[in-house]
Amino acid sequence: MKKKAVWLLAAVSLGAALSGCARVKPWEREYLADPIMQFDYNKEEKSVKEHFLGTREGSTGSFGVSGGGCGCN
Amino acid sequence: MAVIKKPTLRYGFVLAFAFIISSIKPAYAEDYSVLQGYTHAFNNSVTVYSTVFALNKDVSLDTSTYFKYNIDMINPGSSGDGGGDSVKATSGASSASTAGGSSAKDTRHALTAGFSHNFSNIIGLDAYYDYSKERDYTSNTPTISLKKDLFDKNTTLTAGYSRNTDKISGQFLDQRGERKTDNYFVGVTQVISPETVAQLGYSKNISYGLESEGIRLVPIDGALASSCTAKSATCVNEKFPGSRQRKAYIFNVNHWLAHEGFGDLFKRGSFKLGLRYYEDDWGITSHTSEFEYNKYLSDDTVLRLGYRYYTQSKAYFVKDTYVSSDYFKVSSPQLEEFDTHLTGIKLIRRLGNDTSPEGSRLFSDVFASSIEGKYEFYNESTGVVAHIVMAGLRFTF
Repeated sequence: MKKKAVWLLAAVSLGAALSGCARVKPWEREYLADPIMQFDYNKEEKSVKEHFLGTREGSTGSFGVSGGGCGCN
Repeated sequence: MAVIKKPTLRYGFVLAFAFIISSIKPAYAEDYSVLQGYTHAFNNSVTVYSTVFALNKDVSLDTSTYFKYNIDMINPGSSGDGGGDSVKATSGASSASTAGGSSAKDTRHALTAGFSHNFSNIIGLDAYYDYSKERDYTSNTPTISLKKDLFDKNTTLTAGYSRNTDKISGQFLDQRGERKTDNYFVGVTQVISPETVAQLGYSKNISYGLESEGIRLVPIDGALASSCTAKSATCVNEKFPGSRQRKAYIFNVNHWLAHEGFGDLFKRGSFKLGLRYYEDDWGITSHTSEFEYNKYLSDDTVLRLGYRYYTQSKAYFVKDTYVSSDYFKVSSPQLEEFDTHLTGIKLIRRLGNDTSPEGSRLFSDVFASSIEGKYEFYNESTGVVAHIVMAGLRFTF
């Protein structure tokens, strides 16, 4: 119960913090839309790399967020 | 009536899917195809040759489809590995050489097919299916994720789930085994400023079933690893716990460089930082730090420099030597304590020009839009070293 309360508080705090972040307008996102700013522009290369590292290292899987946006249009 | 085997049906379905999505018109943004070739050359003479073909196609303003085919061909050196670390290379299961020295070629085929759909700008859905097969290992993984944009797309929330089913039939297993894995992930991507975007994520992974791959033997009661070429009283199968729970926390930040000075080193480029902390109930914890510097050398050429550092602790049941009374016995080098370094350089060259900005026209509406090549050097504190070379072409249509 206490653990759930802590997670709920953390989620609410994160939501409050995110809503307070600066709002970047669509016309200000020129740089964010550039391919070199993307998290997964070359997802094929990223997939091969993660698979190779997964066969060598003991912490395979759980490599991160999938499908996160870039914030650009 | 001829009996059609399941793998043939799967290949047929995915290839038909690829044909269908490749012929749908008209084309929108984000339509692309890539063809990449990789070589992973290890210092024990094992080399893995890989080819990737992928196709991404918008079928409407709200829907895009994706298809990828990947083949890995594992070639052990003629000298074999002589025992010690059996290099798993890029294979999901088969080692090019087993503990004790005999080596074998193997080929892994992997297919991915899926789609993304935006429901009236309320929520986005991604659904994919991954299938891979090699001599002694097949894997099936459906994945689904939801994406929600908030605050004028300054914030994106992502949540997803995948279910992985592996069928394992390593040479030392008495019978085929199965492992199931449930993977959950959540994340948030946040625009911090016009030049900075950050990402936080958490994933939890629960696997149960056969955790071994059946490709290695464990010497016990004083036997030498080099003598373990077949099962015997002193060369036994690996024995792992029946389940594994993993958690990973990730943080990524990308920052656009727009500063004068230092010969434009920090202008028209980007700097990326990635951090990952991992822990599981086998006692392994790991830390990953990754840096990447991207720089436009010209309007058409991008240079990328990257470095990744990784360190992990060993599983609680890993020992230097085992006796018959030990309940868990493993010889997997993945579960040891070690560090790794991955350093690389990549060049991307856009092939378009003023008269043909899409790229070099190949035929009809297909253009070769960019060419890329990279070299990476990988080394482990265990002594494993690999040279990784990649060349690729990107097409738009």
